[in-house]
Amino acid sequence: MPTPLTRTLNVNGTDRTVNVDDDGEELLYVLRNDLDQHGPRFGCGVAQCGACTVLVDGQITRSCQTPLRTVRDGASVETLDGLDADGSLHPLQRTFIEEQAAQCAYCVNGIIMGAVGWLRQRKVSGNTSVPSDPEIVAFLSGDAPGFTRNYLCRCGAHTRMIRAISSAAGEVLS
Amino acid sequence: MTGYELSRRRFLTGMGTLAVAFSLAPSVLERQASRAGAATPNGLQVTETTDADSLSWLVLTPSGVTIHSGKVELGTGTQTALTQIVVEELHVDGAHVQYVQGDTQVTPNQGTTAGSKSVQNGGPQLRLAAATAFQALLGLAAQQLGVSKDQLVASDGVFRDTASGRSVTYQQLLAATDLVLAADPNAQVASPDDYQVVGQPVQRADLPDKVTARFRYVQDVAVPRMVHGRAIRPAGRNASLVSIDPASVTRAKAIPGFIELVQQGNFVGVVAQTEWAAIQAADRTNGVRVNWDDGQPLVAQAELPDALRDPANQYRSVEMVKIGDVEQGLASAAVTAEASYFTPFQMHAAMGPSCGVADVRSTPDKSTGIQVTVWSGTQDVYALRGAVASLVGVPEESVQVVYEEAAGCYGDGADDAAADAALLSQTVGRPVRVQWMRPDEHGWEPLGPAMAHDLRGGITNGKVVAWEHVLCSPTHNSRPNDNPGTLLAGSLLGSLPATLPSAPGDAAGRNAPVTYKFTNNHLFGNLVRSFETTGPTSALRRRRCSTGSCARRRCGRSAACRTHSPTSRSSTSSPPPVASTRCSCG
Repeated sequence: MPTPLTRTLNVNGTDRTVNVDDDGEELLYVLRNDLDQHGPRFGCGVAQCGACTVLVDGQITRSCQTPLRTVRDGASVETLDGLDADGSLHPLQRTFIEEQAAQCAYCVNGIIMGAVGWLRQRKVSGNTSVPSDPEIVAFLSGDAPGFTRNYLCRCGAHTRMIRAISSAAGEVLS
Repeated sequence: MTGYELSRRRFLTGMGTLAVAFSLAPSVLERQASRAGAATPNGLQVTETTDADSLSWLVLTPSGVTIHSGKVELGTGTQTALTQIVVEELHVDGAHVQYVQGDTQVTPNQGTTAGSKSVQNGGPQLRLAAATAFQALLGLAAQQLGVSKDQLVASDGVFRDTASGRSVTYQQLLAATDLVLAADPNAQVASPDDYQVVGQPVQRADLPDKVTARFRYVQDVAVPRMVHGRAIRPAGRNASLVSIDPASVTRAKAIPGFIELVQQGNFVGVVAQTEWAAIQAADRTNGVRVNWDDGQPLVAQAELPDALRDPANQYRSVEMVKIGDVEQGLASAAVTAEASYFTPFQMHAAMGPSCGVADVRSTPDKSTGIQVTVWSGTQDVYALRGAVASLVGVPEESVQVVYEEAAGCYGDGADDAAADAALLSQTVGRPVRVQWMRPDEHGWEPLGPAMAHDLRGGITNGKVVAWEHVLCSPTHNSRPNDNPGTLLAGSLLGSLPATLPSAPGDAAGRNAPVTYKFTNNHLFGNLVRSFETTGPTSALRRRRCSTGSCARRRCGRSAACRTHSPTSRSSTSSPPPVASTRCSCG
């Protein structure tokens, strides 16, 4: 029999408590069905595409392969839904619109949230230089140092996404 | 106004709607009537035809313009482009234009959204509707200002008299208008020389909501009382159900939130209160375990090029193009060439697996007549409506299909996921959401069919003097129609798959005819049986033709037969295959 679990998560700055019947339930379903988050999406279900990406305690996390029991009580969870919570678009949201960097945009959650996590960690590590296009390509391909997950876009909007990330990076890193 | 003006609509109780319409179904009439009745006078509609039940293309009210488009946004910008066309003709500010798409109750049937033709085919219809509305407004404005129409200039929803400078807004005109017009095929359209919006790069209308997670894809649809379903698919395309392990059913029933196990024929699904419980209940390790008989193996990919060309696997050969004499052309050509190509079955592999939500009730709603509501990323709400109606056994008019955007689909299992949801909803009596898992999508979405091509050509002085193309492929028609077998759930219930096409023109061979004027041009389409059913259309029996007459019909045109060498091909003078008869030994 599954083990029930109660967790309090800080979702985009607000504490939310959830009860699940099975502590193995993946964070993705908890976020989408219990916490009304629509940014994280079900794509591959096996942590290979990136559509479900969220930041857990600042770490880039594939929520489709993250059982709730592995998320600490009180953990901070950031989703695309909360990125513009202060009323203004996050630089990446703005540049994705400016560059028209999507077609169906189903993957955009992963690419923006992944880029947010990546650029933040770049800044924390003391590197505030705007990443070069090859660096962005490496990040999206899972080839950047310390970032081994790739991000798929089925429509083929990658080149615009690279421009959008490049265009927003300076502001994110400043 | 024009001869297309309709009598003041009996169905609209209020004033002030300008609509350019298609067929208004009874339920919509009521909806619009109640809306109109509740509001202040508001507008103009432009309908598709003069029929009383014609749906609207456009609804103009003092608060804005609503486009009712049968062409849907699949993630390629169609919504934005079609809106540009309407905005151009209406001379309004695009910010106030709403786009309602793909709803069998409110949007006209514009056929499938496919083939990169939405602007090409759907655009002109909306353009004329908008032009009809504009001409009506122009007439009203001229009347209002007491000037001739050609004295008026329109911009951003305002008519201005160039002589006096006086103006009247669309809002003012619409507030005093209650008009329904049929789209006028001869309506005067804006001159391309004057285009302000069409042809200009504009930002996609849907992206702001998509990058802020406010957009709702079909995967986000949630309706009251909705529960979650998952399908349990056969072990393979030709597998059939042997048994369901009773212990696994007990195990599944113990999952908190489990509601029901549904099995009809080879269709197996589970329904649960939560999505996670449904996933667990459908999981072979944690939930229901079905034992399948694998059935006939599929043709191995390495064998497909030969299997496609094998006349024994073909149910019909069609001479699609016959101009001149290819053999003569080849014989006289300075240079000849030949080449063969093969493309395997291809999956579309949508970024987000297909998802559908269905609410199948036991009786029709008393006010709307709707008994079944389906939310789907389908490329054709009307086609899916017919298929779902036949699947669940209700009249088509009692089914409403509403388009909700999915992940870019390119021909995914949207219709099939909706059918799964409908079957499960019918069983449990509650709305059901079925989200396909990744193996469902990769294993069961309609595939782009494999094809084999053999081409020969001759060139003299830089001109193509002979062209021969023999293609071999299974049907490319896997979209839903009124046959429930066109839906995966229907075929698992035992309905035969889609009727096989009798000609390749709209199927495997639809892009095969060359558009050049070659003197000698011969195109054959060899239609291959399905490789994945064991019914009468299946190639799996691999039965060989044994009679001479059959062989002649099948591959008498020797180029169609892989067993003939290129040398023997070119030397043959056999008659072309009989196109219209099916091999009696097949």
